[in-house]
Amino acid sequence: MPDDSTTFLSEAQATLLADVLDSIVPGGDGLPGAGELGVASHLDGVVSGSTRLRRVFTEGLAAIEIVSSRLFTRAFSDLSEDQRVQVLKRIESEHAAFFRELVRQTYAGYYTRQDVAALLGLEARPPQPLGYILEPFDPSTLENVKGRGKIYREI
Amino acid sequence: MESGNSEVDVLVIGAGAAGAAFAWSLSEAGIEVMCLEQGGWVDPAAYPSADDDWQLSRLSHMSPDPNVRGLSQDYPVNDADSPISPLMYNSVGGSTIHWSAHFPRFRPSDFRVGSLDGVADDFPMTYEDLEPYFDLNDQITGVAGMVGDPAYPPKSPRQTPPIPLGALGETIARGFDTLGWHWWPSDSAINTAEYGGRPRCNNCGPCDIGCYRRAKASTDVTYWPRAVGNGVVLKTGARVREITVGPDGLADGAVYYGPDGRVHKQKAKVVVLACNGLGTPRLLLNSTSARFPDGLANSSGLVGKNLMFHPYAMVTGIFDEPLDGYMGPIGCAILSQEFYETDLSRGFVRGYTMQIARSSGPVSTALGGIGGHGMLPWGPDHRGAFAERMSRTLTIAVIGEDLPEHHNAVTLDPELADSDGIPAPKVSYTLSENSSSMLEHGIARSAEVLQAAGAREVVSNPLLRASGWHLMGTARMGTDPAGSVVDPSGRCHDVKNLYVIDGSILVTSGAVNPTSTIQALALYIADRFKTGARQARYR
Repeated sequence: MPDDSTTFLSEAQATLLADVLDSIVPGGDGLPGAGELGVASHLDGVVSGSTRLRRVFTEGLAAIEIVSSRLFTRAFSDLSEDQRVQVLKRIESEHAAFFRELVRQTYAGYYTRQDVAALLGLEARPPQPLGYILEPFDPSTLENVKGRGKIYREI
Repeated sequence: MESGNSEVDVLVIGAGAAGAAFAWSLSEAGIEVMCLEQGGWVDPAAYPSADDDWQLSRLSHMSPDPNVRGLSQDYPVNDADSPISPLMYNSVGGSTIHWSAHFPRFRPSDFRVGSLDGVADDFPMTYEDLEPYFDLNDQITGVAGMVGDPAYPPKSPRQTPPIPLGALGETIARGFDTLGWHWWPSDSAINTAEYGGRPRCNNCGPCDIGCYRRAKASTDVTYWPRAVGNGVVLKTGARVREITVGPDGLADGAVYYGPDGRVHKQKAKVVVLACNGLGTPRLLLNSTSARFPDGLANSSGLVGKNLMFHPYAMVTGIFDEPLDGYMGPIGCAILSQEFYETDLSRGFVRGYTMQIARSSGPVSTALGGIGGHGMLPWGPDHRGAFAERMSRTLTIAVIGEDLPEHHNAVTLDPELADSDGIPAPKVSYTLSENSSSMLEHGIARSAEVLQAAGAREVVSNPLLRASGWHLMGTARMGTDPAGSVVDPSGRCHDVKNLYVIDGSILVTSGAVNPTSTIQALALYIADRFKTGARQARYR
């Protein structure tokens, strides 16, 4: 179950962030968007652990609402999907460092999830302890290379 | 300062690849050895490979970048003045903890760059001189591979069979065959069968976050148990601040911060530095005295100079069918040395290796993959971009030989310091014209072979920033004290009981991962030391 609790973000910020995340990694093809899946709480955890990120995200989230209001005289959550993308493109160029970190943490928080792995058709488990089975190396595949002879410079 | 510790015969600083091999070799001859290591022992069962959120560890405590990782045993690095970020790990095992264990040797011509190609200098020993040590190191380490590689002189049998290629490796091998180019299964320091009391690899993939099974050779599971069993005293949490010098101009020990946070002095008859191509010059430059105002053993002015990385270009093929690259050791499959030796008609001197890398999980794919190609587009284009790449990529890492240049250097940062106040290293590095031309050639050839293998699309990263695993040249070896820091036996020209045995001593960098050669050199130096110790007193 996604953990919907937040520690740093206010309720208003958390709601905005969930909508933003649904624009960054939208739902589709049977997969929910990052906001819908509750990835905002992952970001909240990461951001709350760093004074620098707390400042960057507070300013960045505020900037999203400012740009939304400037372009469309409405709150971000009241915009159409197209309009949301336009706002975020503006943020991407005007607040590049914040936006980079936002996207990076969204991808990390989304794709680390086992339920997402399962929906992507991947084995929804960590690499260990099972590992994977691969066929042993077949030495007969080296015949072409062997046939060429020595390719190192003799001294 | 506490100086209660009695004097030891040999004091090794750093418990990584070189320190472990050297300490073991001396201990086999019954020589008293102590090693000081600022990190600690890592418990393989604690590696994140079995955790649900294993992928996130790469972004925090298992990042290879000390500036991202920021563990208590890390020191920061000022890499603002370099397009390549130095990467290392501080612990028993050092950077072998997170290495991919791609383990090729330098080739014969790599020891004769000056004579053969008129640039840089020669090593004062040959591939033949080091062969017994390569073999010994391979035996202790356990190498998966296959003899008969036409790119090398005949080698001793490998300890275990080659790493399985999987669909990814087979696909690219067919590409090389189509073009008639060299390829061979890479020598890899990974068990493909049980060896050395350690289990075989189960192809889980992310070697870079540590090997949960101990199938990957890191020196904490190869050399160190033997060395400690022989009586080597390995002190962890011991962060050396400086090497001190007595009135006779010889090294007399190390000042270090212990796990208790207090300053200690360990006296020693001989001091051996194994702190890597960043840590060793840093320690020497921090060890100033009236006799050595510019840093210990630095009358040549070359401590910290001639820093060599391996500049990496990354070329990724996107395929229509799944290659399942997340299965199998992430950095070990095959390599090609088709363009290794110098051919001046290409427009550059020396050459490169093409190391085939696999792919990793969904987080890595979204963040730009092994090749560092930049995060995938967000928004409406995201799903399509992700689906195109997930499990459908393979990456060629073009490892270019770097040449030693005086201005590429490690110095002490005037402001940055570690948690004990020891000045941090600053890296100043520019990519040479030769390297740029070389990597351009490598990118073009890689695109050719990827297309020959059936890639629908090829993307390239002309220089991977997070590629500074190989730190070399900063305390170079040579016969002339004005042109080198250590002599052919690894001994500092200026200080007759001080040795350097890590990648700092490499004269030239080869175009392969250097650890096999660094360890062979460490064993070679150890043997010469043992002979000298038997024959003469050093004081």
